Amino acid sequence: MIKRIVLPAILAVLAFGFWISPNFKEIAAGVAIFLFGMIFLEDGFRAFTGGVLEKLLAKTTDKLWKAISFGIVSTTVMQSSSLVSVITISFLSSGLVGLAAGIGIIFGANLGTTTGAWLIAGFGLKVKISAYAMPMLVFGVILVFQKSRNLKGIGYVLAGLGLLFLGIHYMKEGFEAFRETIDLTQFAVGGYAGLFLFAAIGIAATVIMQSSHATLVIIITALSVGQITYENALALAIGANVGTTITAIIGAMSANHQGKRLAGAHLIFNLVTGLIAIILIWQIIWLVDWISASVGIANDNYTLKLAVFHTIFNLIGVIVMAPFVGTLVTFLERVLPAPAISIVEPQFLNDSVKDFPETLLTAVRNEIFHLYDNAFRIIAHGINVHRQTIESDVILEDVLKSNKEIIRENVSQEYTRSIKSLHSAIIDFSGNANLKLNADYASRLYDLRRASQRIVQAVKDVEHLQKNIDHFGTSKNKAIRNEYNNIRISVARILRLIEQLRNGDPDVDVFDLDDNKLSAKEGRNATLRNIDKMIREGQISAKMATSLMNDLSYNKSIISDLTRAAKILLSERNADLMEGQNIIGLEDEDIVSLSETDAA
Amino acid sequence: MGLKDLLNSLDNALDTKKGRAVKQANAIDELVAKLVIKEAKYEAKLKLAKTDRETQKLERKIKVCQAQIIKGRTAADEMRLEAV
Repeated sequence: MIKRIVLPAILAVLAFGFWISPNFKEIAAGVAIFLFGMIFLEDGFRAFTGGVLEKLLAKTTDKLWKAISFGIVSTTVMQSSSLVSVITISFLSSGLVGLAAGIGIIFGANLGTTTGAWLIAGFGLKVKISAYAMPMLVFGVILVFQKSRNLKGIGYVLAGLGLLFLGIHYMKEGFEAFRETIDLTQFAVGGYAGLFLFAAIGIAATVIMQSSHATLVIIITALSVGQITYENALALAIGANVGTTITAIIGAMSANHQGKRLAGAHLIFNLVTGLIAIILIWQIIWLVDWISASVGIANDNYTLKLAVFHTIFNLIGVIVMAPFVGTLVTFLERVLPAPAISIVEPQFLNDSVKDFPETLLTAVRNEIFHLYDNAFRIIAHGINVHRQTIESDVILEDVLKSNKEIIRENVSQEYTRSIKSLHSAIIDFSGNANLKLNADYASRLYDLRRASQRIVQAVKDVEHLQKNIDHFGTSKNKAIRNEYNNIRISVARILRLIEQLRNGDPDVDVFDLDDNKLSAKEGRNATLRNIDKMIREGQISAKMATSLMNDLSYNKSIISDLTRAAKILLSERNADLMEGQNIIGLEDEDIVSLSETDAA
Repeated sequence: MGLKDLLNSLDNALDTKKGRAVKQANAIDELVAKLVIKEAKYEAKLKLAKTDRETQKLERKIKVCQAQIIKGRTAADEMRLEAV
């Protein structure tokens, strides 16, 4: 109900404002252009987020100071703490970074965002900024229409910066003209009353505009033309800092429990920082004056002093909160506990991972691994092998040939319960996300979906195999029992190899999947060559032979499907190396050709 | 840096078709180099193999390695020819 009223109310207020004041129109247009520029800037940096950002994030997960540094640098470059927050929540939700590292990045982002005030106060207000804005807009828009992803990204960034500068120009012009009609300083409120009032206004402005940068620009431009007092501007800046957490909270609504925890950390940090700034405001103002005097900032240069203030109170916040990151993590994990892991419900698929292609692909890949974990259990039990046997170092031939235990796994029931629904969720999620991806990412997503499909098919094939494995695997007929044990061994081998690859065993790599496939092919060929001999010598009956030939076909499908799925899921994350592995990897015809070389 | 190197770097940075082909060929070379090392390890183990089963297993692995290396080198050469 409230949502339906807010937007029309805002539009009505703005329309009224435009009607009564052309200067207000100019200021509001400046804000709108500024915000539009931030959207372009964000789109530009998203184009560069594939691969490079992921690698950088991976390197910042081990130490808090690295995570904080990453937050500072990325926010300074992208000039958007909201974007960094959204990226971090997205990466956290997909499992690419841990909570402690995510909190460090948020701390750093809060510090990095203060560079915006420096840029505006130090540069934006001192030069004829519109002279830079126009050419940037023109070049930017031309580059946006290029095919190359990198050029497009540069174009968005350039056009975004141009719009940012243009927005600042109009806001400045608007406030200067506004000064002639109305003096807002008559509404200034001193002391703690003014502090709390203007902090609340700062929070409200930031929540409405969804950008602390936009609020800061308004504050600085208004301060530069004397429309607000220095003390009230400081309070507004504190409010803007707190208000920016609302963006993170909104972004976390669609995230999983990790994303919500990070939003909680963001809120706590900014509330603590805001509280410290309010309680110690006079001490911080004294510190600002001292630092400003030390670095040559004039006493009446309130815009630069505001930038110093903004940096100092955020830095104090980081210094105070950094030692308590561990405590914060514990607290958040208690207050926002992880939901119980369900083998049938998706664990990684949520809306927050759709913001960036890399997090989307990682989330889908992790969910397919979740599907594979269920499939691994069903396949292993379907061939009467315990998972621990496959995961251990025991020689499979020795264990399987001597083991006649039948594991009563209802493959059909388990398929419906823990495979079909999860696979459907993966297909549904990835199908909806596909609309936003460029050709490269769409292709990789398609490959992941095929991997999921192959895992499902492998489970269905085991369902066909299970009955005869139970029957002939425990048969008194040594010859048929031996052949079905060979089938079990070959399936157990591919499962073991995939586990070794997942665990990062240094003795194996993705190319070993081809060797495994060739080994299985040679085994099947040997059996097929011997079948006639076994029938002639009365070792097996004709009925047994037809069952065996049929089941060798299922065996071939299972190994092929699991091999192809593993190649997709476990290949290098770097796009070029992944493509290289696909090119070098042997196809079915190569395997057939190699197996025939031996036979010849 | 010579002009040719500069142009190659620009191709890579701006993600042109030629730049992509060369990058891909370099990635394949990196993978082939690892396979060559792997093949040499198997050859060394083969000399010390004690049983027929072990010998057959290692010979098969070497055969697969060699096939992958040939495939990789052929693909990389073709990509470099296209990029010229």
